[in-house]
Amino acid sequence: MKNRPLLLLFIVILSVFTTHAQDKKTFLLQGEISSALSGEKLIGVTVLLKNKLQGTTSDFYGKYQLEVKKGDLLIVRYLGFKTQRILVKSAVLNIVLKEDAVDLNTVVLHFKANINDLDTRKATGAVATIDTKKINNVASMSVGELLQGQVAGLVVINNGELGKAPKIRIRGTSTLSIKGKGVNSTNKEAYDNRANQPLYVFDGQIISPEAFALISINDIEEIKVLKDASANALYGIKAANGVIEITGKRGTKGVSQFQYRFHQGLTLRGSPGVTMMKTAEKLAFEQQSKNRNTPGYYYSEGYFKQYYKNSPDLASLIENGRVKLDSLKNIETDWFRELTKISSYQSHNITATGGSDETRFYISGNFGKQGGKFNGNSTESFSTRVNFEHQFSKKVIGMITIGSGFVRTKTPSSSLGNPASLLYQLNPYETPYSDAKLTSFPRVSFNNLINQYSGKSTSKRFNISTNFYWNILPDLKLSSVVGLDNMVSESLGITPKTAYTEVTSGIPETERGKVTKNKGVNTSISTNTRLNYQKSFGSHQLFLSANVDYFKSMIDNIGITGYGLPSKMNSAAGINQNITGRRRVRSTATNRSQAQLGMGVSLGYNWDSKYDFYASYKKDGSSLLPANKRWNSFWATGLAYTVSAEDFWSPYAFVSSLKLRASYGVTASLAGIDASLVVPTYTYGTTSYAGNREFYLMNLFNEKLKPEQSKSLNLGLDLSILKNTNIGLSLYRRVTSEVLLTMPIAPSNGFGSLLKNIGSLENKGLELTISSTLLTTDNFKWNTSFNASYNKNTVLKLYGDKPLYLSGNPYPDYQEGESVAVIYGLKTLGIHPADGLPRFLSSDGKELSIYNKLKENDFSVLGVSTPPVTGGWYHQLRYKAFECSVSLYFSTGGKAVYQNNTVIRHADHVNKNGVQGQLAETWFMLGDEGKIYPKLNVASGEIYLNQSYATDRTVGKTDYIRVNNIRLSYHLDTGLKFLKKCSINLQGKNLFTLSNFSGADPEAANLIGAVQPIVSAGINLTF
Amino acid sequence: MKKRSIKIKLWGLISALLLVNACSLEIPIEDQITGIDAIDNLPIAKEALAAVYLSIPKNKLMFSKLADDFYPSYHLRDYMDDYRLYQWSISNIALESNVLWTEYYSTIMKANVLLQGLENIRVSSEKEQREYRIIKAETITLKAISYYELLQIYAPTYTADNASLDGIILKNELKSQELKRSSLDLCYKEVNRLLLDAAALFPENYNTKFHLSQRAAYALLSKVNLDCKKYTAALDYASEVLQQVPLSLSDKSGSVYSAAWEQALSSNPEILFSYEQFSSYYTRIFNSSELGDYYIVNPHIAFDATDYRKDVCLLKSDFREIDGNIINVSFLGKYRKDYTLSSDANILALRTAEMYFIQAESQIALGQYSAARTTLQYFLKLRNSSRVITIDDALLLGEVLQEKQREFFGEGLRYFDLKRYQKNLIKVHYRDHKKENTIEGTDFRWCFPIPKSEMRNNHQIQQNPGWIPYI
Repeated sequence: MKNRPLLLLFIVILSVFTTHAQDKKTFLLQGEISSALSGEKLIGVTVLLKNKLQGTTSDFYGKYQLEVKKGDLLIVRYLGFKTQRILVKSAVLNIVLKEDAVDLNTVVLHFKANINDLDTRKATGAVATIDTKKINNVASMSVGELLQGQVAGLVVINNGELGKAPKIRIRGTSTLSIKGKGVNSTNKEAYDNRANQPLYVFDGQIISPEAFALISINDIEEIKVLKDASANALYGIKAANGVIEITGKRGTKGVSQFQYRFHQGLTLRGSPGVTMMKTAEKLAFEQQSKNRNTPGYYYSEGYFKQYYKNSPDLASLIENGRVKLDSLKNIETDWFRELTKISSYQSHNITATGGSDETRFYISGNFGKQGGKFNGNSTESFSTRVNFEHQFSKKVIGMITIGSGFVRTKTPSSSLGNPASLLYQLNPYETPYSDAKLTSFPRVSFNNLINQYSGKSTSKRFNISTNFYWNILPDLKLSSVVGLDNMVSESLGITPKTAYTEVTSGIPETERGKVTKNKGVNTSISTNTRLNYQKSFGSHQLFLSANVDYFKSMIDNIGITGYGLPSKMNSAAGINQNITGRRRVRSTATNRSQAQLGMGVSLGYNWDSKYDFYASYKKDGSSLLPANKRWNSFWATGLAYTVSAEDFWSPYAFVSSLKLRASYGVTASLAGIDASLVVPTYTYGTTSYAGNREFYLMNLFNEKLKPEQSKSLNLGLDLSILKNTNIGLSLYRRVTSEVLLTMPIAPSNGFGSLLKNIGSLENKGLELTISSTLLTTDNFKWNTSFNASYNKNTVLKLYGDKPLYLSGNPYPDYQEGESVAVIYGLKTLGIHPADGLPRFLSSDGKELSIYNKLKENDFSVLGVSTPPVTGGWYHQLRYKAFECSVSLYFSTGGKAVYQNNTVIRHADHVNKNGVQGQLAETWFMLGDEGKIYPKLNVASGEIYLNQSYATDRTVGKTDYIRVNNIRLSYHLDTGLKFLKKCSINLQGKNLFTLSNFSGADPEAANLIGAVQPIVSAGINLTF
Repeated sequence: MKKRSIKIKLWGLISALLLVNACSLEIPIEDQITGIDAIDNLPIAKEALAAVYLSIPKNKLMFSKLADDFYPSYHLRDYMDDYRLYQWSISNIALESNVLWTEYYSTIMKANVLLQGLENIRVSSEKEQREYRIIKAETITLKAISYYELLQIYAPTYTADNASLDGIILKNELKSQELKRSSLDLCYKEVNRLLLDAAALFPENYNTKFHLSQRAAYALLSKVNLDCKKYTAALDYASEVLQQVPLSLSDKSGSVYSAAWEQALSSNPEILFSYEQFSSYYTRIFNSSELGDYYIVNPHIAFDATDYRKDVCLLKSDFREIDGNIINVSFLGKYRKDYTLSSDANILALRTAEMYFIQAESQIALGQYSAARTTLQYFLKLRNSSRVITIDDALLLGEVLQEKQREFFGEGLRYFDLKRYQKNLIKVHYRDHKKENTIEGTDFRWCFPIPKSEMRNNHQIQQNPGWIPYI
């Protein structure tokens, strides 16, 4: 008995490879399975014989066949539909499945892995479901990337860097990002993520965003995006920015299936963000700019005439220079091609699934590998999932899931600059892989620039969770989930002792070479126990639920930095332990834990399938804050009215379903707060003075600090027309008050900043989702889905009633009535032909004196950097066994400042390359009219500073449409015993982007460039 | 079936236990201590003192660049930002000013936190009492040094006429405040008071490596009084220091002097106080071991053949000029024996030698020219210099200051001497070392600007004159 589940599992796996004995008195049953609501043929429906390990699934056309005996009981089940039991009577049996509507009366021992996934919250709240079938065959290493364009209101912004997780936000930004000097961009990004990213829940267990990135898309059944308070309030303090619920794949009762998927492809270079000057233009530019460190000038006639005018060899010097220049002109290095490369993409996935009435299993293994755009950049990942559930009795069922993941990312070798920026700095007349000294990097050769550093980072994840479900009484159910997630992140960075920077550092040879190794273990435990009670009295349906949840995360980091590598060992073991002083071995260690405890109750009520009411209350405590500030409460309520269920609706039957929803709730967020910001907190630093460790106050504390509060209102409308089109519309408004912001204070206080509650912020928007089957014939089917969302973000109120100037610019960073992502800039009048300096237009239409300090009203709002409108459009066309799908992503309304660092602004910097067209567009001498760029030798001070501001000419629209994925596939039902199904596909990812933005990649607005295009071919085999 | 129900009960029990056990929300953070009274015993006070020592700015090489201790080498063309600083560019000075202001006030805050904490510590034994007094005295001295150096950098030179001008912010409370600058007079009085308090607290015989002591407090008092033009007091304190730590003529080889640059031992009479520091003193001028520093020593700083300092302070080397000519230059030699190395240095913050110059300067100001000559003569003998001192009283001060530069070049003192005497300063071009620029003795940039971040977030503060259009 004890070993029965395991034994069963074993048998089931074995059965994959063995042929079952067949009963002799059987006949072939066949038929079609379709949906009752849409009439659509359903693919992959499980049809099985009761009490036998026999069954099949419906094919691509919704057809199935199965050898049966008369009188056999068929069980037909499909996710999202009601399971049907049908007695076999004839040889043809067409089955129509009914959608699984919210039915509180059904008592089947079917349980959800995520116990917070209550049906009642969906009745009134804003919950969107992503069908992973649309995205699970895409060549991508990142789940986050795949979510782009799938759900209205879920914004995913990719970064061109391979291995870096995209930025994911639900319904805008709820808190402000740090501004001002002294905070580096990595910290800003980390803080921004901590404060604004959604909560990830995998099968009921809370996981970190890093752990989410390690989950393979192949193991995901479904992803739900919770957008409003009535859905989020169940999760409490952690969920202020929305929730992404991931449901993992589980074993299905029925015949064992074995599936193998394989993808192989090429990753392409893409295109450079900005086109740079070619040799002829660059040399001419150098000559014009008269920078004596550039060959364009120091080989020119003008140079010799200026500095050697009295030399007797003047003529031969000039001739020599001309020859040298001519030979340089023959060199035309395309640095983009030199530094980037075409690489490969590969992925393998194997799954086995099956089970009986009592025991079901799902096993999978995934492997993926992708080469980056730049040399030395690559990522590979490996993950597994084992899911096993067993029904102990008619009332008790348990499930265990074990998952693991491994990701290794290698970063490009660099020292003075990474390849992504080098390609915009190196001159076209310079050559790669040589020891010749460069002009762009004085005294250094190209070989000194590359292979100077190697970085590697790995993450390993191990996850185990158990779910338990007990039908105590017909109306009373207890479910519980306990999960443990363990994540080990390691990074290793090595600067070899032969690196140029090391050789010339003045450090004795025995102390050269640097190793940094960090290891972090992040363990989290999450438990949630929920008691549900549901009862019907006539047309009244009542649902009551209470839960207790606990989440604890422990972070244990250790790091070493050491120097003095031996000649043949480039690893942490090579650190010279005898070095004292500045290059001594250093270690860091932090060990932090935090916990949250929550208790909640919720109530659902439905009357006559027409009216829904929902309310929930939750109280959460956090260990981050002192006891008197620890507890926060949340509540949410919602109403829904299904108009189409009314009798008077019958004349409008073409609208098969119409439902109106409204919800309102209050949540709080602790993101960004820790104890040291609220109460005086001391810590030990890493350094010592004369033998004593330093001990100091961490932050200037603010005892009045409060958590951020969000009030959100959501109005929704769901509509089904003519059985083939579904429309969803949502309107929302979320007001975050007590917004936290790190405010600069006078440094004479000993600290530069103080965290304060500074005001309130509003996000409001509109979301539209349409999905439709446009055409259905016997052989042809055309499905499409479209979603778009609009979000407007406004600073409602600043408690000081004054705009906030945090970055030291004349214009405010945050101002009442403006978006948080507003871009201020000047209106330019162009470059004055007389002096080569820019002129700007003041607010009253006059020309500004550029020698003066600019004032706030000289600046105007040029746009917002976060695109307010984003969306996706998906098409799927099927003809016979062919299928073609296209997914588009678009973004509009945003603006960005062109990446100025590719423009040469100062004569000192002419040694590096500049953007194409600068020669013609720069003012060099009196009378140069209509130029875009000012003269190069602008003195320091106000004029220099004034040039650094954005202007209407350096800000551009980042609108774009991108073909995220295009796929062509062919499905084949072989009918063979050992190979049931086979499909092949060809696809292209990120192949085309349509945009007018010329400053850089329109999505990330940085120079790293767009997400890599991939072309690939794949094969899926089902055994 | 029975087995099953046992299993279920077990499940329930485990879940219940887990809930009860795990539900504690009192989770202390390993490396953090919460509560304003965290400093409650002497060992932890010592650790808080370490934080004060660590945060005070130590490297004064930047002021040597601003003054005339160095000429830029042509390699500086690859590092134009630093060349602009050398040429006193407004924006580059403003950047440095921001860093220094922040670091000094961070030090003052840490000192204030410790002084507040010390109030809560009860000590009983005599040994503990001594330790308590030392910690308190060191903290007060560090606060005084921060104030004093802020005054040197940000405030005008003290004279009887401008005593009411803006000095610096005196900060004593641990809370976010917007404070006015106190008057020069008040600021100097405060520095004086703090140093006197500290001197009284220090046990007389206390002298530990990398720690301040009574003699350091007296030396600082002497410096402060010289700046306040209280020459008699300056003389007295300098004499007090020299009485405690006399430099002896018996050191015939200059070995005591050269040893000071190698090892900052507290027993070396040349050293009154040194900071422990694990970094190179040269990070601000070191270029690369192949090419030489960004700066060479001003060729006007030259020594007699017999002078002990010649081989210690100067590193003679061949240097390839921009046009390919090889010339002979001197790199800064203090703290190192080879210019290709950039090794660590413990910074000598207060040297006994300075007391002789304070004496000589004060004697000249008091009209005691012959005494001043004797003082200088004695000092030259200490360094084994055969230089002959002028007999012209009018030229004597100039000679004292020149000798002071010879003794202290590269240590940042020159800038403040030039500022006090409003001397003009000549800046040369990196290419040919020809005069490029003259900074007038009255130039507004001698007083650093109050940083932008302070101006923006403190509505009480007044900017230094001259800087208003720029900051």
